[in-house]
Amino acid sequence: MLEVANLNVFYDEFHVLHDVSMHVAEDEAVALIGANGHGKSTLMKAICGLIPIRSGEVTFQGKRLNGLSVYEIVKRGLVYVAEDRRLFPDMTVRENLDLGAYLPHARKRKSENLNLVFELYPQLKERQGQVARTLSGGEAQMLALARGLMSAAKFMAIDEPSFGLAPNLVQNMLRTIARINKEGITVLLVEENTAQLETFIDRVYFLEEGKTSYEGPLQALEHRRTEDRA
Amino acid sequence: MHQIIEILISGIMLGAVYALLAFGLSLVYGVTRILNFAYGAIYAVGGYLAWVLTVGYLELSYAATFLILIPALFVLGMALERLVIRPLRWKPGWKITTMMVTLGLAFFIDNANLIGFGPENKVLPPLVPGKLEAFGFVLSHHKIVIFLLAIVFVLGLELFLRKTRYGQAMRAVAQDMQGANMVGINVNQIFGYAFGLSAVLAGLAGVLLAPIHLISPFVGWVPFLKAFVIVVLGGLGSTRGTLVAAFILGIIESYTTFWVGASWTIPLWLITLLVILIFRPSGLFGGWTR
Repeated sequence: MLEVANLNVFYDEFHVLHDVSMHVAEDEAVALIGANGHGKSTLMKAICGLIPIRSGEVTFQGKRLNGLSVYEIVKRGLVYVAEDRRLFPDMTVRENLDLGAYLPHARKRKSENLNLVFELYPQLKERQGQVARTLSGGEAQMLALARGLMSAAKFMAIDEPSFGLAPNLVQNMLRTIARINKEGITVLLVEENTAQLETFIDRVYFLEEGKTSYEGPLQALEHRRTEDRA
Repeated sequence: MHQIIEILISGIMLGAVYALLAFGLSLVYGVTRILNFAYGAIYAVGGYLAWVLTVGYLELSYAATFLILIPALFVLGMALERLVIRPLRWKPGWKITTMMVTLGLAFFIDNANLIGFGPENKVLPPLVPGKLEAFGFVLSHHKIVIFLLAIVFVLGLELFLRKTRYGQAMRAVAQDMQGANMVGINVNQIFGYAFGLSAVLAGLAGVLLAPIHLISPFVGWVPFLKAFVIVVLGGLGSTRGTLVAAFILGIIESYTTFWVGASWTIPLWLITLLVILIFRPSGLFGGWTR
């Protein structure tokens, strides 16, 4: 579904991603893991059109995404959920959700998706009229994910959903993402905390210094790292 | 006593038009982060266009004039964004360069008006002639009509921003541009619409005030300054603040004109602004942090 070939990304003159190649198949749940500052988020942002690509190619369902802006990529069914959430602070929860379904194809499925969102997060249903800036960190993260769901995307790129959340909330968040994946949405996840990923992630890419140094199931990577340490 | 109340009513009516004027300026600033120095020039263009359509050449009714004027102003605003602003946006220092370019554009438009229409004042007839006399009060029909029209336009704008898809998109872009992009909003398109809508508001204010303030090539600078004072006094980004500030300043203007003279309006507005900013640095209802 998503193919990334020999991707190079620079921040000004600083070379961040070196010839990264990866792919995600339909219905898969894939995680990008690795330590902070090794390019996980950068890779995701480059795929989603938030930062420019120097060379290489990103294709989604057989079509090139390079050079398209974020909103055009959303139109094609690939939505990005930011780690810093990017909610509309002075709008209500409900207005944020409505805007999630801004595009025509999402508007057609709005009531259906709204039901799903409220089933996943009853808190958001209760707080529909509350202004987004007054939400707690956990609720804001829920709303960010929910707003992404409202766009009726086939593919969700979720950047560090556990960022800044308490451990019990992280578990809840990951469970929800697993559920979304079961609903037939392909998931690409950036995550630092791999402890709770085994249950639903099919494959991981391990990024080191802007290169993918491992691709495969999470368990095998954990195994290799334990051996390295021994 | 009668006269004092009459002046108060007249100030409130003026305030409604000033609210319209100020919303146009703050809309563009809120959505695009650009201070549009050509705003006053568009106000003048609105006045001149209405003059051409009515008494100047075509002798159309005001109703027909508004029907032509509103889309024409919208297209003018869109064109301005497309041709002058967009090529500069996101380039280094774009907030300053776009501001400078709109300043240059203001002089260009003003001087084009000077060449095209000459330096003498153009006079527009009142929207509805005559005056209303009741309980010993005298009010011109024109003032009543512009008050009602301004209220209708302000309510319409508010309804548009709250309830319609593009209105919500405008507020979304104002609150988080990247977030707006992420839900599929074409931000450039929304910038264009914001400029178009803002030009409509400026031009309409120009037409509504033309029978009172007349039209001349550089007539837009005072309304631009006034819109700016209202927006800052009310608190940048606050609808409620803008409304309250517009009415306060409209009333101040009305009394100043009566007791001291019209030329004292701007100094008194600025003194009011300074005094209020000393106690409330972000304006009456300001919560703007960026």
